[in-house]
Amino acid sequence: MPLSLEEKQAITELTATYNFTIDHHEAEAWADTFVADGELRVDGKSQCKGRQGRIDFVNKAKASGYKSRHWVCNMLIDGEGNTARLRMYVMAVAIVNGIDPYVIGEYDDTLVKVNGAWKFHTRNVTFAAGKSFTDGGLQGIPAIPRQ
Amino acid sequence: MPHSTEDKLAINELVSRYNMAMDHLQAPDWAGTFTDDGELVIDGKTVAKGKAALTAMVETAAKGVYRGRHWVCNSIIDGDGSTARLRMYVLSFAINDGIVPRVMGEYDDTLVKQDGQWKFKTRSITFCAGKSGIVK
Repeated sequence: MPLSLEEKQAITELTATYNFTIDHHEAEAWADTFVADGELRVDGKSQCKGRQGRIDFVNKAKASGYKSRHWVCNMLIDGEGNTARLRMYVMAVAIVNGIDPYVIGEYDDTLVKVNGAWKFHTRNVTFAAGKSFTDGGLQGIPAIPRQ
Repeated sequence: MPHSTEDKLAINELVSRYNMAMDHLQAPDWAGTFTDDGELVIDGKTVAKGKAALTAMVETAAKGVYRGRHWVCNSIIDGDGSTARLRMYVLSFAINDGIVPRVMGEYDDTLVKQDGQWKFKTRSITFCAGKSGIVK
């Protein structure tokens, strides 16, 4: 059965929670937008995987001085039953020193519904311009080694 | 009958497909978001009308230097039945060298629902700042 409006709205809200929690360095809440073995992939490479790996990633980002806000649009959600594919644009705007849109890209994610709640199984972002802060894309912010 | 939430979501998803197809220079997919006689109007002038002309416009852009990303917000959808009016903001970034806001404007579009699918009949954009990266 195709995804209902309610399912699509829940996935949209999951994305908002993902953005709020990464931007506010809420490591555990961000990690919990994924399934237990969920993975963040950046430009085709694994950045972090597993709950502890994801928590460590956010804590390292916070320690590095990284501060930003994630802006998203052009959402397309497909799928049926308990699995979904989410495509959307993202622009990360650094707020370390003024307002600096430093990277723009697209997600192509897989999600699953577990115990009534949608979670990311794999978040896969590919950048079209700029470079992730994890790869040293922000001046003054050290790169974060991949897990 | 006023539009259902399903119809409004379908129109917003059409916008996502329009933006992704344009930004990835996928000419047939982009032209496919319009009706067969669909028209793109920029600042009051018809830029392309009909599938062949719409497809050719993006094919020409693909041969040039255009590399951009369309960002949209403030979607307002009115109408009823099988016709709709869509108004929304757009901000287009050039990504050839860094991320540069290139042009900003507003759509005021007419859409129709054909065989259960929403399509643009007329996409009419008026820019308030900057210049189009696709159309001279």
